[in-house]
Amino acid sequence: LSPRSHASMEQCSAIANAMVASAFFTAAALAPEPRIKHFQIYHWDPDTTGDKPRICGPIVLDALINIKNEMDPTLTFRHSCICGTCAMNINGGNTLASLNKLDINTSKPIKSYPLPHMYVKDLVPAMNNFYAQYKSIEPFLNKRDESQEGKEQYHQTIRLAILKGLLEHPIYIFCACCSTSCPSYWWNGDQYLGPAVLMQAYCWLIESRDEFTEDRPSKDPFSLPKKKCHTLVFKTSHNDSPHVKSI
Amino acid sequence: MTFTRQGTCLFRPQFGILYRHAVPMGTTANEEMNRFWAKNNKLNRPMSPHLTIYKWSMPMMMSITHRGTGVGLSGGISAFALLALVLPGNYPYYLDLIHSLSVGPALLGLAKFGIAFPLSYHTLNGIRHLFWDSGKGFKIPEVYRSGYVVIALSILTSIAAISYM
Repeated sequence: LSPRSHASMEQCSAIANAMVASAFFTAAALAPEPRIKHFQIYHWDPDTTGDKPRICGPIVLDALINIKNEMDPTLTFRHSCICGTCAMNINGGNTLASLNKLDINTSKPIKSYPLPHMYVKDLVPAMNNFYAQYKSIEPFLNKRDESQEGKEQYHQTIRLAILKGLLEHPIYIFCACCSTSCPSYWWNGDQYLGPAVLMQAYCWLIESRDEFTEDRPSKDPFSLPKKKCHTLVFKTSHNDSPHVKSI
Repeated sequence: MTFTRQGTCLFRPQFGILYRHAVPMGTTANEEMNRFWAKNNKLNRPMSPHLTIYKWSMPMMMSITHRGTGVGLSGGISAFALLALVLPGNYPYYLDLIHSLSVGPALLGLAKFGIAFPLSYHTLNGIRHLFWDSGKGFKIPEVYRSGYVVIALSILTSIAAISYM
């Protein structure tokens, strides 16, 4: 069904009625059998240590896209490619719809909710506050001497963050899964920065190329943005990196 | 430099000369946050579900139990202190009063467990919390493992306390 099908619903039902009527007369070939082709796709990531080759199955995002295309065009969700856009709560856990394997056991429904305790439309949360909190930690380099701009400098501290076990991949996707799984962030989202932003703040604190470390707003360990972390340690299904209280 | 750090960026350094923007550029983080809350509160938007839909996990339950036992212990000790201050009789009198109640051993054991378990659980989980405060033990398998150890030890020490006291 195309999005325009809503307008021509009456036409469709008229045609359907005609088809049903004609079906009684054509006893033989009815509607064509659904043609299901199974895809088994090889999966292996050279960057993930210990990764074993495996066959990946259908993902929840595939199902959502299918639902939007064929059943409910008004279903609203975000998705793009490996970027954290499709973060949502699936079967009770915050995860990425594009990485969450679709459970083909037909007896159980899959419950799909938006990220918890956010202002939403359907499965789309309003991320403005989350981004503003990230902005507040000043996620950029400050140099005393700007004349060296453009020249090669110290090695990237993002590698140091990975070595310390803070990040799994060099690319951080701001999916907000971890922050929106934290009850402290649910109740105090206006003041508490949340695990995602706190971890980024720490990464910028240890950034060797930044020369204004002492002036960073996140340096104060007793400010409310950090104090609301009670080390509740909840879990998101795709992120093994712990949120850092050791800031 | 101060203006750029605030984000309003009224002045723009270019080749050593400060140029002034015709209008202030961008918004500060605080401005954005305030606008966000003002708009959403005004529109009275509902929040997406949280406690009702989030899958309960062992670390979650241990965390809320830690809070619950903490409240229980503080409340219990405060209540005991208040009663000790306010009630007319002395401690041996009330001890005899409790002894005289014909409560079966099962119920008595349960009551003792109800006092011993919160104490031992909260203490042991508190030690687990202290490890976290030092930055250790945050990997997910470690969280589960330490959690199970705390639960097992709490039950064992509670039973030991009941048996020997």
